[in-house]
Amino acid sequence: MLPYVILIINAMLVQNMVFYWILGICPYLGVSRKIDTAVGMGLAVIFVLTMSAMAAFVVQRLLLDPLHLEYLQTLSFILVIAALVQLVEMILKKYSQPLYRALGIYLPLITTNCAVLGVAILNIRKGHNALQALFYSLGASGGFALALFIFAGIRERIALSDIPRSFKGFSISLITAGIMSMAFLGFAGLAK
Amino acid sequence: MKLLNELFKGLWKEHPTFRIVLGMCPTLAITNRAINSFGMGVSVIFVLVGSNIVISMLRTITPDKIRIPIFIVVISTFVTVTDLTVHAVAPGVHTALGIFLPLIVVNCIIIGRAEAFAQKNTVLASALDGIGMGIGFTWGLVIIGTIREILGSGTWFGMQVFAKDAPTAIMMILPAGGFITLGVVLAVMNKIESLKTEKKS
Amino acid sequence: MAKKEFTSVQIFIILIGICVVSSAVLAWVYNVTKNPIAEVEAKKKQDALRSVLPAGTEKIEVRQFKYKGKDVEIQVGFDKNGAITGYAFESETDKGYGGTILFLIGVNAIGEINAFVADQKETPGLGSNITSEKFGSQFKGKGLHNFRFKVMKDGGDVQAITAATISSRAACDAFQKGLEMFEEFKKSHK
Repeated sequence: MLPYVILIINAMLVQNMVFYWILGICPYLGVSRKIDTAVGMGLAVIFVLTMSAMAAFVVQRLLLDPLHLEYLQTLSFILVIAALVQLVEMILKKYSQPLYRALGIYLPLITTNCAVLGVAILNIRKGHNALQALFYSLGASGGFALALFIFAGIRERIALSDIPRSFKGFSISLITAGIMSMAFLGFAGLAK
Repeated sequence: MKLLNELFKGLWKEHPTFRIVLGMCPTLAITNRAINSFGMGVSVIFVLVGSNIVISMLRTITPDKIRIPIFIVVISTFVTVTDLTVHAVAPGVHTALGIFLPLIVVNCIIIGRAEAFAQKNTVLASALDGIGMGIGFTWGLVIIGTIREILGSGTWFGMQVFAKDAPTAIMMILPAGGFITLGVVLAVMNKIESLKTEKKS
Repeated sequence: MAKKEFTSVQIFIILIGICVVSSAVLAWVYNVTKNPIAEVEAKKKQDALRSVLPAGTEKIEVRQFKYKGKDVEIQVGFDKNGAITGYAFESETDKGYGGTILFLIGVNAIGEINAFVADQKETPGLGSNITSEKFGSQFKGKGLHNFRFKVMKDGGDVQAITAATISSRAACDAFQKGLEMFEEFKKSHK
């Protein structure tokens, strides 16, 4: 049990998707203006990222590795992600209107979220087995959602403050993200 | 001439990173050294121009419903070709860029230009658009890479700028430095733009 | 320009067609780059080995060794007269600040460290300095018989990097484990 807890802590805090790997920045900057949209996107990402990372894992182990088609990794992974997102969107639309209205708009954005493809690839590069891949994906996407949530809280405050004109918008957001990244450095060494 | 405009707009007026704010992930992640910024920039130019050309060539037989999967297949093909080529030709750059080479496939700039331009314009215009946007992206990366490398390691493209044991701001080559540098550069760009519009009025 | 209406069959064929062409292109590029990439990787390995093995090494041969249930490769360096100049082996530690650090350690014929390189993701400017001249030079000529591979804080002889104790400790761990394995190897290959 403990190694898996450490895996999650590592994925979520020490090697946070946004502040360590620098993945998922576009949605991170784009959807973090308000807390409720941030929460929606965060949940959608946890769901889609974990599922597609596991699907990609299966494709790698059952198809690409045995047939020595490793060079098709990029192509097959992104197709798996795009297909899964499309599938989730269709299922939501058909079976849960309220959920579709809440999360639906974020789904196409998740396809180009580099964190999703990134985690799928990282699972392979870190040599995880299936269970490790599952926990890593959950932790990584959770870390992304956490970063998004904290950031949205800060941005709501920033919107009410007096920022110099040149720094308004993305500029101050990025500087804030930089300070948060420094803060997260404090987690290093936690998972030992 | 209109075609030249397609080439030059990506260099400043519609700069992908500083004006349209796309392609953030690589801009922040691999710019800790100028040579990595340059390597990434060149790779992106290749993928962007290549996919713009092919997507434009295919625009008459691309059904609207499946255009995104088709873009994805074309772009990821170019990305994999680039990945393999860089590995064989410049292994140092390949190791430095690491996971961000395959991640070029989700670089919003490339899908963005395919959707907004290449599928609606001629092959020549699309190629020029790709070249302009690509070069714009590259010089943006190199500027940030230069700032971070000089302040963070005291070197530029590997050449010593400051004395060898001079203290450096290590923070600059960590992720935090990337965020802050880009934030400050964006503020500077905003200031330049607002000064230009003030001058005009 | 009016958008053409495609039938489902046409859509299917176009999609499959593009996938097939892409896969073919990728397979071709893969074949063209396969050998250059293999050569590049082999050269990287050879360069690393040459940099850690003692000077004068002309030929390198590999020996297989079973240690703690695992298969290990020990690289043996020979000079131009066929005498052994030293050995090189890998040692891994998971105690690094940024995760696993893989060391390639070169020792002379009696097991004293000559040089080493590391594949690491330690903090740039701090922990990453375990590969610097300043930190590494204290290990030259040191073996299990004349050196304690622990940082001074832990009662050893190693001068740790300021503000990078974790990385320094990880390096010690890798050296200790690697040299112990080498001792076993020497015993069984008298």
